[in-house]
Amino acid sequence: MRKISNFQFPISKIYGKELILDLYDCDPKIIRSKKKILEYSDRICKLIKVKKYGKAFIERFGGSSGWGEGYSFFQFIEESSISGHFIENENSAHINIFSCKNFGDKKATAFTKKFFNAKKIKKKILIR
Amino acid sequence: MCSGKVIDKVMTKKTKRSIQWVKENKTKKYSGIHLIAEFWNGEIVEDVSKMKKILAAAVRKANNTPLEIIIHKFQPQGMTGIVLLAESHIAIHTWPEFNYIALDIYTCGDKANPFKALEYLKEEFHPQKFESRKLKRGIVR
Repeated sequence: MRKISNFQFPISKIYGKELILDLYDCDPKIIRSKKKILEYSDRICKLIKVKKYGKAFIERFGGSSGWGEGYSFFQFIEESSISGHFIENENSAHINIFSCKNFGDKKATAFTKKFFNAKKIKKKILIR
Repeated sequence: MCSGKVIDKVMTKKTKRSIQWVKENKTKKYSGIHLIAEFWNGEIVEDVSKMKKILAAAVRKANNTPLEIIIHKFQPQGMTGIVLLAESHIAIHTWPEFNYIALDIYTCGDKANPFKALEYLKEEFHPQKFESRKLKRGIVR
């Protein structure tokens, strides 16, 4: 069963939180590694205590002009989803964590930055 | 993924007391556009094959390249759907108990038009209340 939000606000008004992360100057070896990306997906789910549904989907896409090539992944969770897109020729990563159960966004941000060894990170939180 | 360019003209004062203004051209590159939409009190689709057809049609409207459509149906109700695109993804989450749908349309390049996908989905689900915001992802000067 889909888990209902445990926010303090009335359930009728808040359905979830989306953490949007843009990471720059990441470790090139990590963002090019399918194994590391899947490890990230596993570890972030454990960290923010969400329940994975099935294995993560991961595919490699190539830009026709050579720009934009990299992996994209998507992990179903019972509380919604986690996705990520990696641009190898810019060493950037774009992650979305959307959960209808409240989670530690500071913890998730710090972990993500450290995992990908990013020099710069931009963060946005949306309450949906 | 592909890049886009945004050219902003910014007016800045030369000095604190100066009345002379200077125009600056700033060129920003960004990886993609991410549309985030909320639909309230619209039609909730519980049939997996119907949802797949709707998402596939939204992808065509946006001129995206679909790679896979995956839907997970919760018990007793609710659904999460994802379309993996060459240009990123479209994700939909439904909460029938609250009559609410959360949509993410993340796409890039000049070829794809995420706004057309959003318009189409709005017509399909015809929400009584609708909100959306646009984010530029991966802005790099």
